[in-house]
Amino acid sequence: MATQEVNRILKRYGNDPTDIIAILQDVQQRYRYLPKDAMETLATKLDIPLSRVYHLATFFRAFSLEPRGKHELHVCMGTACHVRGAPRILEALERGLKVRAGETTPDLQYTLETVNCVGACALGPVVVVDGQSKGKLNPQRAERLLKQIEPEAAPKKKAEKASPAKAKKTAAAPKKKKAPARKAASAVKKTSKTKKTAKGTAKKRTVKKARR
Amino acid sequence: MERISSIEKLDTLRDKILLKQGAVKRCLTLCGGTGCRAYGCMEVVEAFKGELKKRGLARKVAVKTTGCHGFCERGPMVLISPEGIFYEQIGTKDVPEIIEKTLLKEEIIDRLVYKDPNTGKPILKEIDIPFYRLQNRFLLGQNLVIDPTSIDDYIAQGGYKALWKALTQMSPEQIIEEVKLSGLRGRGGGGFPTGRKWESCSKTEELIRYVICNADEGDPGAYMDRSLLEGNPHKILEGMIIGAYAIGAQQGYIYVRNEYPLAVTHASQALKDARKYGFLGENIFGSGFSFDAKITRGGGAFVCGESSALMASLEGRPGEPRAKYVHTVEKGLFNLPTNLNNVESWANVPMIILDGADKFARIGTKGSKGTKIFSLVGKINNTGLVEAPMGMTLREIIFDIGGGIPDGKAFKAVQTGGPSGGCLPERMLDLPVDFDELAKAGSMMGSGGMIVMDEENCMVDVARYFVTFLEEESCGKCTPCREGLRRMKDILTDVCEGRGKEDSIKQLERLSVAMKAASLCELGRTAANPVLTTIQYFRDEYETHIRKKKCPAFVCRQLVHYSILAKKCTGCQACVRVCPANCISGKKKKVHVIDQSLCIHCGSCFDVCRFDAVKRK
Repeated sequence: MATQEVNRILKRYGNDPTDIIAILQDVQQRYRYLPKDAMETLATKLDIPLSRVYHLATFFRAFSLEPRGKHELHVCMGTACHVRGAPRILEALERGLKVRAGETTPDLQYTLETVNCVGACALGPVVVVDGQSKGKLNPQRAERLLKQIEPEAAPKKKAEKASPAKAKKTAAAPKKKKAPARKAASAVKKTSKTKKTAKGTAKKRTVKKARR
Repeated sequence: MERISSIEKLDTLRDKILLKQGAVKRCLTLCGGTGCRAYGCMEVVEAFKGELKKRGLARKVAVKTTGCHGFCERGPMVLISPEGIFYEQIGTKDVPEIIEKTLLKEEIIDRLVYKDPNTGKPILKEIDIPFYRLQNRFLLGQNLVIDPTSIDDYIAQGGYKALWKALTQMSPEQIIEEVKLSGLRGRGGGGFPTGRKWESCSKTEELIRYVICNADEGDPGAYMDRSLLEGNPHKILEGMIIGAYAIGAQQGYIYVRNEYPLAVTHASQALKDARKYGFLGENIFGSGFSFDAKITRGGGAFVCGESSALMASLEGRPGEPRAKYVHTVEKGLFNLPTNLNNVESWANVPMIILDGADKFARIGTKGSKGTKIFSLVGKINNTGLVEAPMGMTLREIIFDIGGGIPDGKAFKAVQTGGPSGGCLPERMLDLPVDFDELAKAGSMMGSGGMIVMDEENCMVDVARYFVTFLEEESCGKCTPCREGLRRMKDILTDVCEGRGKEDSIKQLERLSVAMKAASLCELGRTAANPVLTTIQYFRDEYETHIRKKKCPAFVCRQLVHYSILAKKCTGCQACVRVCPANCISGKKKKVHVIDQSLCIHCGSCFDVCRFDAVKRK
C-alpha cells in the first residue's frame, strides 16, 4: 500500500542511503507513523538491513511505529517550562485525554507527547497543538485548551467523506461538544469567561480562513 | 540575479540596495521569531500591511519582519523607524491606532510604551531600554534590521564582505592565524579554541574534508542558536564558507534540530539565495575555491549534539557517540577530516575576519574573548536572549539586564550550561561569565542556557528533572551512563517522594565519580553536574527531604499535604469545582473538607482559593 508513496519519496532523495533519516521523516510526515511495509520497502530499495531501519525508527524521537492522532499535543518539558510548572500541565492533559504521555487516544484523535524544549521560554509553560504554540498555561487553562481543539476538528471531519470508521468519530464528537457548551452556559454571568468563548470563536474563524 | 564575482560588483550591489531602501523613509519592524510568532505576531504583520494598503500608505511605509530581537517577554513588538519608537505587546486591534496616531500625527500611545518593571518608568525608545542598552549586541544586533529571507538585507549590512576579504586577500593559514589570535573558543559548550581545531583539521593528509554547523540545540531552555540561524542565516553561512576555505573543505552540512522548522526554512532560503549570487558553488569570488552546503534535519535526539553522534546520524546511522581517541578533525564524517562548530562560533567568524582579531580580543576576559549569547529564562522579568561580553557577572545579567525576579520573590539559584551544567546559589552571583570561572564553580558555560529559579523551586526536584531528562536521552551504548543515570533517577525519586535514606547523598556522589570517570562521551561524563552542584550548594534541602520528609518549596507533591482551614473557608466551591480527584466535599456556604485518602496532592485547590483557606505543609 505504502510502496508507491515510499518510492516517490525515495526518488526525491536519489535513493541515497545516507539520507535515510530524512526519508523516514518524510514517511512519518505522510502517514503520521512508519508503516511496516514502508520500512521494508526502504530497506530493500536502499540495500540496508531492516534491523538498521528499525534501530533508527526506535532511536529517534521523531518516529513512531504506531499511528498518531489527528491532533498532536506536544507539552514542552524544557527547564524554563519545568520551573514554571510544566509537569502539572502534562498531568492535567493526561487526565483530560485519559492517556499517558507518548500515547494516542483510542479514537486516533489526539496524541499526547512531551518535547524537550520548543524555545518559546517566555511563554512557559507551553503546549504546541498541531504546530501552534499555546503559552502561559496553568492546569485549568490547559484543560480548557482541550475543549478548544475539539470544535476546530469539526469542520475537517465534515469536509471528509464519511467512511464507516469516520462516521463513528463524528458520532462521538457531538457528545464531547456538549460539555463545554454546558459549562459556558453556567458561566454566562462571568464576563471573563464569555470573553474567552468569544476569543475561541475568533480563533475558529481564522482556522477556517487558513483552510480555505 | 547576477553572480557576484568581485568586490566592485558587491559594492555596486550594496549601494543599489541601500539606495532602494533609503527611498522608503519610514519602516515598521516587527520581530518574527518563533517566540513572537507564538504570540501571534504574523497576524499583526498582516494587519499592518492591510491597514497601510487601505490608507494608501503601502509605498511610503515599509513593514519588515525580522528574526528574533531577543526581548521575548514583551512580544509582539514593533519598532518604528527612523524615530526608534518601541511598542510592546501589541495586538491586531492596536494596529489602526498606531498608524493613525503615531505614524500620521506623531503622537505617542502611552499604553503600548515599555515600562520598567522595577521603577514603573516608561521608556519610549528601544535603545534606552536597559535590556538592550546594557548588552553588547555584535551578533544579535543585526537580527533587528535584517529580514532573514532577504539576502539583500544582509548585503546592505556589509554582508559577504568578510568572505571576499578571506578568499581573495588572505591565505588559509592567515585566516587560521587570525582566528587563533582572536581567542575565539567553541560556543557549543566545550570551549575548545576554534583556531586550533581548524588548524588540526587543515593539517590532515586526506584531501576531502567537511565542515559542519551544529544547530542541534538540545539544551532545554536554550534557544540562541535557533534565533541566530532563524534571524540571520547568512552570517552563519558566511562564517562556514570562510572556515571551509581555511580548512580546505569542499562540502558543508548544517544539522538543524527537528523542532526548529522556521530555522530550516530560513536557512534553506539562505542557501538558495547564496547560490544565486555565487557565494556558494564553483569558483567563489573568482578565487578558485568551491564549496557547497546542505541542510539536514535531526531526528530529535539530544545526544546528537555530540560531534561523533551527530556525524553518525548524518551518515544515516543511529546517533550514538564513539570513543574519541582519534579526534573527529582527523576521522569524522565518512571517516574523513571534519570540522564541527556551533552556530554561534560560526557567526563570530565574519566579524573576526573583517574587523581583525584585535578588536574581538579586546572584549572579554583573559581566557574567554568576545561576547556570548545567553538565553535568560525561568523566573525572570525580562525573559529573552542576552548577548553579554565575557566577564560580565551573573548578577549584572540577571538583575540589571534581566530585571530581576518577578512578583517580588527571592532569587534562589541560576542554572547554567543545560543538563551538563550546574546550579549556582546567590552567593556565587558575582562570578564572571567565563569558561574557566564557571567550570571552577562546578558548573559550565555550556551553550548558554541560563535558567533562573526562585524560592518556589525545589533544588532536589531540579536535579531529578535533569537526571530524568538525561536518562531518557542517554543513547544506552555505554554502561556507566545508561545504568548510572537510572540508579541516580531512582535515588532522587525516592528522596522526592519521601523514601530517601540517610546515605542517599553519599550514593549519589559515588555514582557521580564512576560516571565521570568511565562514560564514553560528555553526556555521561557531565551528567552528574546538576546533582553534584545542588548537593554542594543546597545540601540542606536534600537533608530536609530525607530527614523531615518535607519539601521546603512545596514542589515534591508526595511531601506536601493540603487541608482547608475552617475559619477562612467561605464555602465558595471554587476548589470543589477544580479538584480533579473529586475529593473535596462540602455544600455551598459550608466549610469544605479534603478527603486525604483520595487527594492526589495536585495543588489545584491551593491555586484557586482566593481566601487563603487552603493550607499546605
